[in-house]
Amino acid sequence: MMLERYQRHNLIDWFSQDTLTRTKAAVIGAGAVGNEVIKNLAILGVGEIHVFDFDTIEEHNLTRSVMFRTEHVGRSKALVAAEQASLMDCNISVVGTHGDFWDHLKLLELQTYDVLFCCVDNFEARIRCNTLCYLTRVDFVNTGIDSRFAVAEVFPFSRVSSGCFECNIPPSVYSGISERYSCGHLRKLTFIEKKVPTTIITSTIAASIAVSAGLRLGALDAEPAARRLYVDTIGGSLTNTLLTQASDCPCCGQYGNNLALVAARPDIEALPTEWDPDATVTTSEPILVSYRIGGHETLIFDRASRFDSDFPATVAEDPGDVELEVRDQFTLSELASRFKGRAMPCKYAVVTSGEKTVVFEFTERQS
Amino acid sequence: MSDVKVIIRTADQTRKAEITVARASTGGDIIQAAVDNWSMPSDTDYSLVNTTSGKAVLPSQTLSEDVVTDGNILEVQPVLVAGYE
Repeated sequence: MMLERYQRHNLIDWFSQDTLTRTKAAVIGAGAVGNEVIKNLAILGVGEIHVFDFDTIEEHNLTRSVMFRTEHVGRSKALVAAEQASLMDCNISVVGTHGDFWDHLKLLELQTYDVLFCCVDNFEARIRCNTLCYLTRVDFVNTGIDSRFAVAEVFPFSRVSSGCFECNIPPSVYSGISERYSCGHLRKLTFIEKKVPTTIITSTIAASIAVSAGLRLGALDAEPAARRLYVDTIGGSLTNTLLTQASDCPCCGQYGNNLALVAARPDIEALPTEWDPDATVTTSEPILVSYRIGGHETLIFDRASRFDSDFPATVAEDPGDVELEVRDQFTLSELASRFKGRAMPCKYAVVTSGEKTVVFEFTERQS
Repeated sequence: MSDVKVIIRTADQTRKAEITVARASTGGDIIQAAVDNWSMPSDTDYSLVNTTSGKAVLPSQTLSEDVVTDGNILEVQPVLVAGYE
């Protein structure tokens, strides 16, 4: 492509505008880093960009968001970011989705992307992005900032799985996540998120190194490996670290490398009947299976995230009498017998039997 | 039990110390010692990096000879969670 617009890019010998034009990128989160990532992708001429965010713009976002203006306050971050990025280059396609990526980004759709940029502010969403990219073999770029440091971590799952995001997070992260929940994965109503102050300086740097590494600008022949680029914006240092694979990783250590992905109707009967009945079914999120009061059990079989810590008080005078069953692992035979006729209340389920692992994504489409 | 002599420092390099530790120590032990001795914020998560070899040291990884050698620099980096607000 030799458009006048990209003339200067085409003078760089290691830069392929054609590759960028063919690139399809997902951006999760259109906040501080997300704004910068989307801006960089658009200005570079990345052909397709899809932005996901469930939040709306607030006035305090304006100090760190290059694409938001005062008149945008109250509007969807994803939709405004997509509108503004579209104005930067009429040759590219930018789509915004106002909603949670977990609900809107299908695995089968994600398979068609080249790279996903994760620009969120919590570990749960990062873990989910990592898992989706690992299952679909899409390159994953994680970003993070505080008021001084900026980080971009690149996991080139399309070429190699030499460690994932979860391999490299300390156990204390899981302790922090568990503080958001009580009664076995029911969301705490009283939990207050710690706010980390940041500035546009660190978000700009995080986004620049994330986009450069994620698009493999100038590094097309480099040996692919999971890496962390960690910048001290005050001291001026950059640490380039090769990340490690953990054998007990809850993501890549659990799912292995030989994965197949299929679409399935969202009901129990869509799961394979010809497999070993004892095959393990791991759901994409914890399921509130039932609650028990005394000897009486009431089946729920729904996402635990749909319930909060007040739930026991809604079904019993004394919440202490309520025993909850929350799980994310079942067997095929248990699902077929105990929950016959019910819908699978999750995004996907990973069914494992011996060496065989298949990810069933529950959609309305026929497999 | 053999020991290894390393330099441990914070990511902003305002704290630095040469220490001798048992090879049976883990990455998690080093992080905990840094947090305790240097009064680093306890509500932050940290990871450990061998900046000499350019490789991460997992919390469960011991400081074996293929992970750390004498004189290596180990940096304690805050795990960055923000990026959105």
